Amino acid sequence: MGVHFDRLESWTLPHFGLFWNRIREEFPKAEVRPPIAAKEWMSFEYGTTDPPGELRIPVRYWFISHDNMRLIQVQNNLFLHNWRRGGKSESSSHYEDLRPIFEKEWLRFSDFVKQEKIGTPRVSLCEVTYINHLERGVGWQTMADLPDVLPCWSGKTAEGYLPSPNAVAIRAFYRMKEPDGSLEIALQSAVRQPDAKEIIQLTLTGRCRPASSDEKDLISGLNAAREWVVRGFTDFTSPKIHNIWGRTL
Amino acid sequence: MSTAPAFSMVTPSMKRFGQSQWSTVTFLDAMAPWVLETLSRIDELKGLGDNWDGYGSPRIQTRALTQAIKLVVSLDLQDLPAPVVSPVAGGAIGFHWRVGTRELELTFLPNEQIEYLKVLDQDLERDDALQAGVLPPNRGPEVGRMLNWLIAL
Repeated sequence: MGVHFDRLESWTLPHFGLFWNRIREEFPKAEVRPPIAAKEWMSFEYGTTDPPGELRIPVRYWFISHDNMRLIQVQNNLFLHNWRRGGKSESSSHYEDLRPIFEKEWLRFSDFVKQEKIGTPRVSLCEVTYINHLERGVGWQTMADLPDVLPCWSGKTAEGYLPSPNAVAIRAFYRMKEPDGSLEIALQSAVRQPDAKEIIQLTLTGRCRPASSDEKDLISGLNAAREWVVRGFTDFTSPKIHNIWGRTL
Repeated sequence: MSTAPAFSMVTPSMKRFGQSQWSTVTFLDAMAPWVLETLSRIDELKGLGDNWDGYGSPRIQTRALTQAIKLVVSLDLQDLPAPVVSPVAGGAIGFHWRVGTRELELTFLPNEQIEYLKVLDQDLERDDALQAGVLPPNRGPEVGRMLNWLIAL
């Protein structure tokens, strides 16, 4: 769950450390990551900066909680909060429980930005993402079973020459009209690194433009994005999968 | 369509460099063809039962398979040919590559160690034609260096 905002021009590398200092008690681990960005931003800025000669390096920081269950991602135009499933209780991963936590962390971040006189984050997008893993052997065995997972995939070919594929990747975008936004659905064959299990990963990301950067409008934007994710999941996947995943996101 | 510009503005991930998700998965659609071929071959061998060789060898053990799969998906090598994948007596699984005059054999053992054998010269009479050893578990970078050596001609 998170927000994209207009790039904070005054944000520099030391600000990551200053911000970490504020949350370090809860998020003691920090990692430097490549930024989430359009490719044209992926260049070092030198010579066009103010003050002249200053080097701007585009990076994203990860701040990870003690128990490895929560992650805050920060870059100069992005603030995301991620959770892993498998916490103390399953209910702890429900949107209704997580959104207030996000609000608190976003407030802490935007207060920091204001207090450090970096600027005021002007939010352009609210984002809600859900990731589900469907392990091989649970609802599917080979890609020939994919029609059981996705109503939109028949698996049929024109002449029946091809066998079923070894791997599949599907990406679909849907326009949200009210509010203005999109739902992105990605289904990908994958191998989960820790246990080498073959999985199908289903990722649903709802994004929409909030009416303003006010807290009320951000919540409304997040709720709308989440609504599209939940209903999109139900619409995109089969009843068989709803049973396996318990239908709830 | 008149809606296209607005739509493209709200789909920033189309050109993303990093990923926003916090997961440790390797997507197969981003993998080199040799990785997909190798995984497919490993998958076929999972069906072997005990005594697959007629000499009482156990089936390929899960820990050996897991090590092999983890290694294959962790290698960021596009130009590698697919190895010959075969079961090895004792519950192990083996990969064999031959590129020009060089060869590399990896055997993933049920105890998660990896045995390797490098053929540096086809003239096996030479003392330095072969190099063999055992790697402890999770030594992907070292295997990566061997594979780079294999294709570096």
